[in-house]
Amino acid sequence: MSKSRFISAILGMITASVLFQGTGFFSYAEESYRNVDTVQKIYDYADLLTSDEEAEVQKECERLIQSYGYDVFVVTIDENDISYASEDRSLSFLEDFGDQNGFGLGDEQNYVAFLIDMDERQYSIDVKGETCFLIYSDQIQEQILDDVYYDMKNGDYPGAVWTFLENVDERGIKQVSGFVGTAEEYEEYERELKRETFWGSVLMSVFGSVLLGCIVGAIVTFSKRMKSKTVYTSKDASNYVEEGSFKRTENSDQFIRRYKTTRVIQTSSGGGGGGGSHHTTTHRSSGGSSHSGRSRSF
Amino acid sequence: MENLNQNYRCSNCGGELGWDAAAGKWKCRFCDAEFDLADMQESGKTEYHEDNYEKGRNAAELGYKKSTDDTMVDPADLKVYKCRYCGAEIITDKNTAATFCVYCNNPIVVEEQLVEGFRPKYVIPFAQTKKEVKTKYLEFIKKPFTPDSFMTEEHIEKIKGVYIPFWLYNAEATGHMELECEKIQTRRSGNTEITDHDVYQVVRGGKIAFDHIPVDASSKTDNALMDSIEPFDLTKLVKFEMPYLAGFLAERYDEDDRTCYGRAKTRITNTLENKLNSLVTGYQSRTVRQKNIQVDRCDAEYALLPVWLLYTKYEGKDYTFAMNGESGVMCGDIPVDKGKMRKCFFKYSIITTAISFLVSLVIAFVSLI
Repeated sequence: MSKSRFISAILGMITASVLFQGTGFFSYAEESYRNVDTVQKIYDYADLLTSDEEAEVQKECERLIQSYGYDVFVVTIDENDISYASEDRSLSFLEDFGDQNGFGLGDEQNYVAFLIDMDERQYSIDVKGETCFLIYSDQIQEQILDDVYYDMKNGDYPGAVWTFLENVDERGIKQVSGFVGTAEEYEEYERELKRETFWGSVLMSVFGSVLLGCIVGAIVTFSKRMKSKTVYTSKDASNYVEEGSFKRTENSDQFIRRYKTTRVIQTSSGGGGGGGSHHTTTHRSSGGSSHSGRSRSF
Repeated sequence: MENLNQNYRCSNCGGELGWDAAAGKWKCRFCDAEFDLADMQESGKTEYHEDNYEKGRNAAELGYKKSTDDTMVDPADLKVYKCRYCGAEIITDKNTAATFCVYCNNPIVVEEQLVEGFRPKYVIPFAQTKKEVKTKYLEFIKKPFTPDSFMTEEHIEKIKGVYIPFWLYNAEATGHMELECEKIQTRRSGNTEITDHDVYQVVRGGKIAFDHIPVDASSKTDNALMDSIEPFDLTKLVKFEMPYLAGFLAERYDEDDRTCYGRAKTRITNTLENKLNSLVTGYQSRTVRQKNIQVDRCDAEYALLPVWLLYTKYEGKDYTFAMNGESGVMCGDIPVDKGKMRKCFFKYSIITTAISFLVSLVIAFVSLI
């Protein structure tokens, strides 16, 4: 090989390498991690689950999706191949996996995902979409990671996946007035809310009715009282104007100036969102979409 | 002018004559004979013009003293007359022009009170009979909180026909007004609302004439009360003659035309100002920059106008009801029975509270289900 050919080959390899890295998040394992079929909800690249376990996890994910209306999926990897610098490589992988493959339901692409990263020895939870942000607050995410930690520490990865799914089932009530809890808890909460609303309404109606009664009573009494008053001082003498006596002597309308005033119209936008302790921290993924999530080592 | 106090007697039976509002004539209380003004003025034909009273004398001069130390009534302001029919002494206010003998009910017209500067130029005779007045009073008084005592026959009987002295002002006024007015148009551009203000200097001027604005000239009657029974139909004005007073009470003025002019002027200027204002149209806002309204000419004529009056007291407070004796317009602040008012308040409060509570309870139940 001539010297010039060798240099060309080296430059070509460098160029190819740069181009390859610049085109995607997943480098050499691109085919495996991109363009997956999103119907599948368990991606066991690290081969931590048996095929039977995968089938059960798939089934459970489908049930959860059906029940709660947002996407749920699980990924295991033994090689984390993201090509850019990240403080939380596991979470970045999971976010890219979700974004690149188009996971998520609805306009907001709501999903909650779980990753076991054997390469980084981390496990992560990733949340996307406003509805899921509302349900999976920072606190809830920490609790899920706590719950899963025991299984991860003991190397029970299928158990960790199931613990995650159980948490989703517990937490995964649909967004209703900011309530977060199980379906049973929600039903009880709703019943309690109705009871509270009922007694609140009764109490309010007592006060409201008395107040309304007093106001109506006062208005009726006052209007009837006013009927008793008929004496008023005459302010004018229009009844005594001589017929046809009024003559107009001056009549002019002269334009002087023009000026403008402006006012900015305030538009009221929806806004709001969960307040108080129910807080969800979000950030942008490398793909530019909004995510919430965190990882923990095991 | 020794004996000027008169009543009028029927030429047929000698009975007392009084003004009959329904017939618009004088009528004998006993034989129902009717007389018109021409009959009354022909003193030779009827014996209506009989001096029946001695000239009134000042009560103080006759030795009358204050009845109590704190009374406001000064004997110097009273006059004493002596009825020639029953001989009783009648004490009246110094301005009384027609009255009754409280003992024999003899109607007295005190002509000496209406001579020289006090003789009215016009009078509007009563057109409402006492019976009509009673009916209208009962309709008028029937308000939710009227005390029951105001509905009794005894109370209604106290209504008296009184000729109240009025000044009738004939006036001309001119006015000039300058205003700054704006035509406003609003449009929208994006998030901004833009309002265009076109400012105009508007000038209006005019002159106007008034005919017989009535202003009551007695300090004893409430001005607002007299205003409230307006308008008087001034086409009914007739030349004053003493017989019109027969059978009624009458007062002579104690506030001259200069004193009353202020009230007339206020009404004149307000009317012209309203008129000029009504000529300013097509603007969304207006500010008066200059206003000059002046009364160029104003002369007053003295008249007696017919008013049915009822003076009464309720819980220590005076109440007066008045009815226009020509048109029948009635007014007066009706006293309020506080018990009835409380009952009304509680009744409507309880009903509304109950209905409101039931409705909200049903709504709460439905939402619970």
